[in-house]
Amino acid sequence: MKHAHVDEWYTAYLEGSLPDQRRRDVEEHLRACPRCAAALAELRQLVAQLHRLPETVPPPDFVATVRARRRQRRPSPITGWRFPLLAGSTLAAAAVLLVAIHFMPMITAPSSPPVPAVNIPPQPASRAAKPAPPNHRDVVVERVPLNNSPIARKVARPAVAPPHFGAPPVPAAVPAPTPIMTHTPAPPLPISTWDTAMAHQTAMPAKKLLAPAAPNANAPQAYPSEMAAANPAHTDEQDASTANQAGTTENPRMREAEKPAKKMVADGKIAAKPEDNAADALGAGRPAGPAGPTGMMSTSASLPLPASGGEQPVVTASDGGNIVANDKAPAHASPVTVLHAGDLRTVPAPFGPLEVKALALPGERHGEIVFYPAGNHVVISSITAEKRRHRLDANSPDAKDQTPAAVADRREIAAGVKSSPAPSTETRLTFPAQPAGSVLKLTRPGTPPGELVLIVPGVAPRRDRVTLHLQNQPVLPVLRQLATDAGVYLLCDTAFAESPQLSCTVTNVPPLQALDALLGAWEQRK
Amino acid sequence: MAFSQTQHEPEWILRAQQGDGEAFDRLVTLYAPRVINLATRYLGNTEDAQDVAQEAFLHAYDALARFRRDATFSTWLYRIVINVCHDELGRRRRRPMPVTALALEETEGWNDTRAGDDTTEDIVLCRERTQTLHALIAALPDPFRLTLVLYDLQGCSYQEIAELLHTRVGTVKSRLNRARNLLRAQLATRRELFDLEVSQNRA
Repeated sequence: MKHAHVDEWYTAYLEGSLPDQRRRDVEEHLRACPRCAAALAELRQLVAQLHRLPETVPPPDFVATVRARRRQRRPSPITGWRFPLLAGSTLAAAAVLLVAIHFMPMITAPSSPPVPAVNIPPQPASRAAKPAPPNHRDVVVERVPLNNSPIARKVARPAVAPPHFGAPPVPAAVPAPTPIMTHTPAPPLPISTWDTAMAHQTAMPAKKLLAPAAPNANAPQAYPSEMAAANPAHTDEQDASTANQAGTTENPRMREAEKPAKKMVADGKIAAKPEDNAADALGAGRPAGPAGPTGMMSTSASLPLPASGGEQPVVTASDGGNIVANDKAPAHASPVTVLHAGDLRTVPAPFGPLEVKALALPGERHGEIVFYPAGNHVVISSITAEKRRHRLDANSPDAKDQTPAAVADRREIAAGVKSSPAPSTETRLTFPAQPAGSVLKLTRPGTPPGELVLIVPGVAPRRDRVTLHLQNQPVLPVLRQLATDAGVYLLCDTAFAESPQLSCTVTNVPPLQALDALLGAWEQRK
Repeated sequence: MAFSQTQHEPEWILRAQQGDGEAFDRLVTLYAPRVINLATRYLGNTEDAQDVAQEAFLHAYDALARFRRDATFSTWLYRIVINVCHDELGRRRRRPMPVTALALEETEGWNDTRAGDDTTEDIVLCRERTQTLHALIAALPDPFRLTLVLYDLQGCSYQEIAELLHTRVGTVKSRLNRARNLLRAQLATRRELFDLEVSQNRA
């Protein structure tokens, strides 16, 4: 086994559905066999490419054409069995019947209830268009500035209950998230509301509202070590400016039609009513906002990044580097087995086209997610969780699934270790459209707080090629830059995103390839 | 929103079974994107796919009275689409056509939703990648192609595919892995389009 190539296990390995022993054998082989390691990396990228393939859109007259052909050629299911009767009737009787059938719709139409109008969804993706179950679980979204910004401190207010909207909050989601960095240099700031971001906005000079100018969008961008190092001044400025950009400046990838509303910001002026603009950007999260999908969130100005070279958090060596405070993650939640198991999707306006790349989804063996807009919110729907629920549902044909993952799930549920997912629910992360360049911590029900980190690309121009020199430095600033360069959202395992010390060097590669290199370095570091 | 459409689906199905053409039209509207995508990706070109999709809906209309709800409507409909696709492929076999060239030519009409936001170079490269990928998928041997299309492109589960193809889940999984490996091997010959490897020399 150790010496035979492992082609036949690639897909199962990527999905994390191999039995433990087999998985260890495959991993051992991958370490020793460059051919299989390369093939597996290619397969990962291939799957991502497949998921990104554009959808065909039906021609506008498709339904009308089918209707015309149906009426022209086919009897309806009803007339289909009536015609044989007609064949045996007299011509006159046939004529009477035909007339009756012809007028039948007119006679019966008023008694039938009106059917709501149908609009074809704006084609986010076939998977994205899947129906959402009516009752999904709530989610905490925690907003995490990258550093202990003086501005954030200045505007931080006493703890305020997070704004609730939609259905009543789930109690489990209410407690403030546990900081996962045990060595936090400064005491965490109290939980504040979205007002924090708005205050950022008013506090900054006008020039900060402008996107940083890029010397040459096509030139390879080097990430110098000082950029990756935690530099409070730099990060403060960056945070504040991105928070501002988020609320008011136009995203270059935003659709043309949305630009006029943002024009005054593009002109370099401070918005006349920044609160309103902030409310635009964040508005759906406010209680008075439009009714969106059920969800709740809290924001926090805590959790600064670790300083480079400072005290390091205790990292376990065996479980893929999960930080100890985060060790409630399921045993199979190694980010390594699910890296790149994500899906790329495009979300249409009002958010601008968002591409989302799921890097590591702890606890999700298949790790397939979609983003789609719903009202003024963005929804991350974990299709995998949906499949898993389906698999565990006693009424589902998938309940007979004997894959090791399914068996393990059922065993854990039977032992009370894991709670059984309620039927007809879907794990969804719902939050308002996010400021460009922001970093959010996402917490799903029943998972450790801040399990996932979502990195929103900034408004700076994208770069095709980047050069990365990282020496024992934190990953998060680099991830933000890569997200911006690649123009993708990054959804990462927190343990990876907040990895305080990583060394990695790549030269003149596409941003996502640099990301791969980072992930490779993360894997190797174990 | 998709949800507001699909919550009416059972009602539409029932009414369509009772001969309500309008309800059937709504089902066509709801399922047209998925059906056309499946046919396009399985057959490898858009024009044939639209004919096949129309034909499939007409077959579905005829057979609607026999839909028993022992499978979901989408599974039932997909099965019809696949059968019509098989008929079309059978016709093609009787008058062979160069599938790869056909796919490359026909995918010109693909609606790339991401094209509007990228540079010209991005668009060209993206379109080229898309066309190549479609051509290579179209050239995969049949059971592997269909499995890959259903799982990776249509988002079906293993269980759904097993039901659709009347086979076991294990078979579906091994076919999927085989299909991906075949495709990967083909793509490896087109590395310049797909960043499958670190290429440091390109500017």
